[in-house]
Amino acid sequence: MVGIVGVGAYVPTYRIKLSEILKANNFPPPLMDVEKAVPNSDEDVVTMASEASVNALRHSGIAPEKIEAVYMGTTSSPYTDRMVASTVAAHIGMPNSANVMEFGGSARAGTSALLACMDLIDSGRAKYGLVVAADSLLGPPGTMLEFYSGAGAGALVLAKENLIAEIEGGNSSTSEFADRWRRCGDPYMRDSGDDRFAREYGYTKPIVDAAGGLMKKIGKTSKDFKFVIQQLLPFGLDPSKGIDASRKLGFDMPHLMPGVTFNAFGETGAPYVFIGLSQVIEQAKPNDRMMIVSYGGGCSDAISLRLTPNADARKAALYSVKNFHKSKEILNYIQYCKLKGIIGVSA
Amino acid sequence: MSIASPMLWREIPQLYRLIGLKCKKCGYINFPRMGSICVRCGSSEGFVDHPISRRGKVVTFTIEHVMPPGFEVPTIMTIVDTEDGARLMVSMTQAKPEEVKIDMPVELVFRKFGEADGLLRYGFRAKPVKEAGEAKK
Repeated sequence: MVGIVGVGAYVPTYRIKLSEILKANNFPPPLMDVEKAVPNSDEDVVTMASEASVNALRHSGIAPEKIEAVYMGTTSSPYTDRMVASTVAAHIGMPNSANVMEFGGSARAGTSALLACMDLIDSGRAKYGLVVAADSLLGPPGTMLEFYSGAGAGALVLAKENLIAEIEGGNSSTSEFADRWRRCGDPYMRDSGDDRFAREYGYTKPIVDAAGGLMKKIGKTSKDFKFVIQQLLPFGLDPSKGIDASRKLGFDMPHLMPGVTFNAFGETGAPYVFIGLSQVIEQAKPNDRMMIVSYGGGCSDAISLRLTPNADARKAALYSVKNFHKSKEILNYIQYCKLKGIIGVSA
Repeated sequence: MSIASPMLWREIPQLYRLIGLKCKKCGYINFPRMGSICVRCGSSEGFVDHPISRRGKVVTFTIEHVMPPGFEVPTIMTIVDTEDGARLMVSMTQAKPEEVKIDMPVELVFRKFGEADGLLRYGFRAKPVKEAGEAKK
């Protein structure tokens, strides 16, 4: 059976509070203040993905030379024509024979890479594979997209033996829906601006279809799951509205809260569910079943996992997401704008 | 013609993986990688590749307030001695000038530095170790 042998995450040190962004844009203060992660000027998806991959490999205990595939998901690569996954592979020290690929298109890129790598390992064409997702999102100043667009990276090492979590199956749902997009050459994401429309017609249906279909496929019900790591979007600045999608499947706050990082790191895009998974694996016990549900542009992937007794034994090697919650530095809006390139630093 | 790409290609082992050359005779770690003679003992017996430790201490530093366009201001340049005895010159990241001290523990982190002809350059920079649990390499 295919499964996970190691997980790792990375989140930049700098954070900005929602209240600071709102103040700078003449909005009233939020009811509940949250933070989002901001990469330093020398950080991008390449450096963040590299850090997360190192953490995942250390957790797995597998030497980088043994990795035969690197599948990377991102929507914010610095290049249109040049692969950055090869830079990550070179940093980690993977052999030239590794099968290196990039996935993009939407915030679902991370789970797309995971589904593809699962099949690769399952087919026996590779023994060990690294799946890594990283994003650094940017919204136009003064818009909802700016309030929540975060940054981070998450990585998983897949194999068939000595698993810490077995992957029981995956399922996808696709619909043609435009709720968030970014044209080539545009630094900023754009959105439909209609939260209710995006939630009711774009977000909820594919999540219910993907997750509901998965449970049917593997013959389980919501009672069999202890955790759900669901990609959240801030509908009317309230990500809890996104939880309505899970409620339709029989899940509620106790399933979702352990995997939530939205309030601390923002909507991190492709790596969101991997960072959440890393956080959940740390608190879960052997035999706990969990589901990761990603969402991006009207499409959703759901993947079911079950922790093995081996997970406890490897816990000491896991680089805790708590470290990223703890080590942080709060920026003001001007510092944020400089780091994001919204205002120029120098020529 | 762009010289950015050949330069980058030659330096990939040291830029991306921090691999130095360990002298076969005296064991000194030469970094950056260059030439065929050990800078410490002058031996030409050859080298073996040595992945340099990612933790070290600040030996000395300077704070540059005037930099060419495209560089951070201020830039903190530092000489770092790593735990395995290599000595390298790197710039610092996420450090406040007033906090930098000699003997300060640092970790070497993989970051982006600079761009030539639209080609991004990545390599290692020194980041202060602020909490006991933070450094991990």
